[in-house]
Amino acid sequence: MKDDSDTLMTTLPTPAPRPSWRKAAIAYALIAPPLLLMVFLIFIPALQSTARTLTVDVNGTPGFTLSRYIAFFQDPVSVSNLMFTFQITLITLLVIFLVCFPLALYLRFANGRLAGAVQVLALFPLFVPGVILAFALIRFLGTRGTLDTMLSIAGFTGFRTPYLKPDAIVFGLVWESIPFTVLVLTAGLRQVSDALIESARDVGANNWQIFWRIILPQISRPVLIAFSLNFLGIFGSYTIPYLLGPAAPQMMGVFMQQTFGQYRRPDDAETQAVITFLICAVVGLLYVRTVASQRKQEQDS
Amino acid sequence: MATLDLTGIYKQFGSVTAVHDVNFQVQDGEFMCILGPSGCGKSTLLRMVAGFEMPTSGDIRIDSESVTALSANRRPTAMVFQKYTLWPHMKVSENIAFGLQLRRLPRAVIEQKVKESLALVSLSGYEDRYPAQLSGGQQQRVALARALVLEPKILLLDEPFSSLDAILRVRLREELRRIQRRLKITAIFVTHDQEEALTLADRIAVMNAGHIEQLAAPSEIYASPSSLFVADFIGAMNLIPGTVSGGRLMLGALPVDAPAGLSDGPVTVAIRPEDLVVLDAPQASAWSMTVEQISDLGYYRRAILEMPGMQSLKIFLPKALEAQERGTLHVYARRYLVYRDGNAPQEVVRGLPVSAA
Amino acid sequence: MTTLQPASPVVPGFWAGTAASFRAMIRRNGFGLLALIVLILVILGPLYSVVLWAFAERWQYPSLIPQEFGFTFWERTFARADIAEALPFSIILSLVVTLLSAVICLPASYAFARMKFRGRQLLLLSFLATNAFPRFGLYISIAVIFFRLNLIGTVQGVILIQLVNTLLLMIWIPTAAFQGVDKALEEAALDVGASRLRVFMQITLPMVMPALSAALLLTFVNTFYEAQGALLIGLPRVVTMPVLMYSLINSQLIVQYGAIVSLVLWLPSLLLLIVAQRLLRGGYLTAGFGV
Repeated sequence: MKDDSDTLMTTLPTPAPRPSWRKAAIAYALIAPPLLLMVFLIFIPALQSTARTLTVDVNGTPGFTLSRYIAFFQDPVSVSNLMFTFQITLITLLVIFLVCFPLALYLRFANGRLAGAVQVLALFPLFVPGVILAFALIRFLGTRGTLDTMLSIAGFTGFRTPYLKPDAIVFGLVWESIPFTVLVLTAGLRQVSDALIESARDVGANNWQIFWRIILPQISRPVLIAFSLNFLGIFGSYTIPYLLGPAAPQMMGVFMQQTFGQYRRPDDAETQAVITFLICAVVGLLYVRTVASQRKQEQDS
Repeated sequence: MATLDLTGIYKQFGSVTAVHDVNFQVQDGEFMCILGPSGCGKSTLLRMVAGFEMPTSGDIRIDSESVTALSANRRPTAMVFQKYTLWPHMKVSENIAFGLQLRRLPRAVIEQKVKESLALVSLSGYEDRYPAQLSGGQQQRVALARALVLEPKILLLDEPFSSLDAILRVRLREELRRIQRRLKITAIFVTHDQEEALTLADRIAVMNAGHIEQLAAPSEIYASPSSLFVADFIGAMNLIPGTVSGGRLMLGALPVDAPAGLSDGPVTVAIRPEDLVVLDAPQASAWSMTVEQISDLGYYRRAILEMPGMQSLKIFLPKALEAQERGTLHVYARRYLVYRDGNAPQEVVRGLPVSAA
Repeated sequence: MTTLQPASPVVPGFWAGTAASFRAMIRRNGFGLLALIVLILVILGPLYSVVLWAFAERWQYPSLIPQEFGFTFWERTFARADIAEALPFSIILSLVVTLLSAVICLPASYAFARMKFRGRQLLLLSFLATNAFPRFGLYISIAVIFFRLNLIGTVQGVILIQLVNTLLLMIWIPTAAFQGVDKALEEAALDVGASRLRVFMQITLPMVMPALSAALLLTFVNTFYEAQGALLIGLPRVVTMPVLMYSLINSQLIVQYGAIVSLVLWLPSLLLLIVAQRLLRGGYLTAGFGV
């Protein structure tokens, strides 16, 4: 056996493995369709809009201009809508975290039926689409709506409806955001082990210190993801502010739709869209980077 | 019933050579163990036999027919994996029947074979369980049944019991041996557990860094390990550096008997703990050593002995012998092997000193 | 080194204990009960009004329940031509989008999970871009392009914009599922003689089926409820059910129409609700966000 092995080694046809470039080519072909779809429907529109709003046609040759942006920022309605969108976004984010952090902490550390019921309710909005929510909130928050009725039966009169006011937008957006935020925060909190909290307790930290010094630093990624996605969602929202909010000022989504659909000024709508892109770019990057690093950590461990 | 021939097997992963010129033959009905530390290439070798990896060069023949070019699903081999690999969405019976169905056997035949193979691994009546409802040991037995039911020419086992607890591992090992003897099937068993290899194998191939260090029957491998690696890897062994000068072999400052014809230079002396005998009184040819530590291992004790100018030695002490830590023992090496430069060792066997006998 | 002082005085009772004290504190404070009551009011309250309105013949202020129940408005709702048209259209549209998404994305997710190629990780992450833009701004950008391509008001346009929304979910969930199938299980099947195709069909596919069905279900429901893109791209000629809801809310004096359509629209969500436990355990509920 051993003796003729040398001759065998050279003469035997060993099956050549498929070249790796061919395998890679198949892989690229498989991922191409969704990738192209995304490129053509996200990257190209976004880039094209940005490019177009910055160029002006000078006798047939394109030139650089900021005129559209100057016009935007000189128009008091546009500026007030932008500021309004900022305000609503920040206030909504604040309320979301004020509501969801206690809920998530509760769900992390409590168990039993009560916690189960709280979880079901907190996740319920996930299964209620935006249009239905808007309709429901009108019936609930509107004048002579359910809330009004309940208060008046309880003897409380003088209810003033938030419907068509900024408060209703905040209410609706918070309502929609609770499930996602609670899910992400709870999942993050579950990664913080009891042993870690107990050892912090052991060296004398109180609950408040444990929360700030032990828990929060460890769930920074879930918090950032919740923050960035909620920010983007609110900033780019349309249905809730359109159906529940005031006619003026408007949030950018409503404003853009109106500019595009009703006033038929796609160029201006595009400028408004690019302004929201630029404002959200930082947050969008933050989101992508956080998810990327979270995944990396999960894969490493 | 089959023989397996491996000829000049190489396997290259990028720039790493995982398997380096492996040649051996497994006889019909033989139980061969491939033993080695993790990363030595033993699993890669087995996976090449199964067809999951292609050798970079070399030939694999089963019953003198080359299977090198065949993919895994066309080879007459069946494998039991290290991890639990029962398909979770199939019942036990479906797991076993899957390969038979691929061979388009009649339903009644399949049922009969499934029944028989489950009886073989003592799991009759478990047909309708799902893998998740079985313990780890049961899962591996079903995996064995799944492999055996196809009546493969070669049965391959890749550390199948390594994720089981110690007691179960021993029991399944015995069961496997019984089944293999009964079916007289040719089997290759990969393990890093020397005890497993020594108890199961007709022959053991000790692998290290991609090549085979020694291929022999268990008793021979234990008695005369052909290299220092094997000497160290199999069983307990005291390896002591020494030097030869002018035909005299010195371990540190102590002279011992040298095998004939050894030229000057460094050597390594290997002494099994059981080849160290305790004498009643000091002797010129014995070493008087201090007992550093005694561990009671039930029916015997293991001691670590020390003395100046010599490295510490492992030794087994019978229960009857009186010894305590810090005490002194006179030990005499009855048999040892002298290794030099990767060559085969030279054996030295000495009679006991007269006064002790 | 000075003597170590306790970082803070440990007050027995409220602050004392370990992780268990968190639990105790929460229990003692009745936080759970408070949360439950507030959530019932705030989450279920709005839906309560919708459900009752759908079955109300007459409901006048101030009463917590309608004065008269009945089904007359159901008949009238389904007699409306726009609703009778939009409902089947919406269902078919969502099915088509889900199917297309599966055809486009599932092979890609298999490649991401099982093949080696340069930039795999980066390209997989690039699908997060679908979430990284302010949604409505992006729709406007797309609408401007579609406007030039005469895709506004066409079914193709609506399908395209809805497809974009499905990409992340339809790629990430199946990719994770394919990665979760132990290669040894596939090797074991190869070993007993199965061909590559059979291994995929009989071993791999059944094992990723729960994840795939979750992805399909979530994609269908999300698409069914997608309103903003359809509104911007579809109007005036393509009207889906959610888009119809806008007009029912804005320009209908009869509340019952909106309530009844809401209930009908809500049915697919019921499907999700039924399998919610499994979706939650599989971690699919947040997968659409890239988490």
